[in-house]
Amino acid sequence: MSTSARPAWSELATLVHKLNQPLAAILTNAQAAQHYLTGSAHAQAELRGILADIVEDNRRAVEIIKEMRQRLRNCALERRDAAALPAEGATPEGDGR
Amino acid sequence: MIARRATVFIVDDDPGVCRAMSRLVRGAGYAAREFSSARDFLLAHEPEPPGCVLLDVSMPDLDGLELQQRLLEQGCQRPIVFLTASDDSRNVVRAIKAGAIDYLTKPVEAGVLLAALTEACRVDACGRANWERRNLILGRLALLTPRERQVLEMVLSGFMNKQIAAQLGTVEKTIKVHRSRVMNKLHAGSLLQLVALAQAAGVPVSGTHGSPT
Repeated sequence: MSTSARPAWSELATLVHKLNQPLAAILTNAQAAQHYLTGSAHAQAELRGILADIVEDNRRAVEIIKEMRQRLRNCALERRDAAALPAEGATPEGDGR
Repeated sequence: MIARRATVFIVDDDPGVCRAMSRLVRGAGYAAREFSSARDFLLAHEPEPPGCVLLDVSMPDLDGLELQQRLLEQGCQRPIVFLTASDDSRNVVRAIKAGAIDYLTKPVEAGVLLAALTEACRVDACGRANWERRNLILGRLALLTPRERQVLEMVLSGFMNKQIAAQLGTVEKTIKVHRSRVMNKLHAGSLLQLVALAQAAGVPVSGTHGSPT
């Protein structure tokens, strides 16, 4: 039997929770930027900050998605390995009932 | 009267989310203050500036719901809009029952968030206006003489001038004079207004009285 730990659903739930943070920041930043597109000098400084944060938050999100994929992949591999092993005690014809 | 600019107090342990929310609400005309923990907010919070709280639920140490309880214990009336990254519906009921204005999930649309904040600030402004009105009326009530206070309370209990005169051992004409002075001091133009003022200030208005003698 494989010895790697099966990802607990709570771990995935935590990752989903974490993923919502950069996504929330990206959405709100983008919508704030739409408002600031009025062209004043102060607004330009805000816009620069907003875009820098959006780029960074996108990276955060990508990292979390990678981690989620990896865990799901491990889980799928485990299941495949488990299915390939013969079940203990089973006969080829079944019960005969 | 120019309304003071409302402040949105943003409490969230994710700095990226805090910054984004601050930009959005400032763009919409609010002042913004950011806090990375519930404790920092409690330490710095002053009840005097008008506005509301935009509060994350899941924070390490003190979480959003616990902060809501602490504020209630302190008698703080500042309205709260919750914003959560989780999908925990049990918290919604607790938060709303404890008086939250709204409970939103991340990522949140700007229109939805700003509508909730508008409502929260409206509730805050309303509460402050009621509080100021109450204090104004209480100040005027303090100017009544003891006799005038007696007459007021009996009027609010539904007694007629004649009955009040009999109770207080004087004549109807005297009661009318007292009553007129009460109305002037309280800036009430009618009995209806007098009742409304009394209720706003928390003075008991029963409207029912004992059987006439």
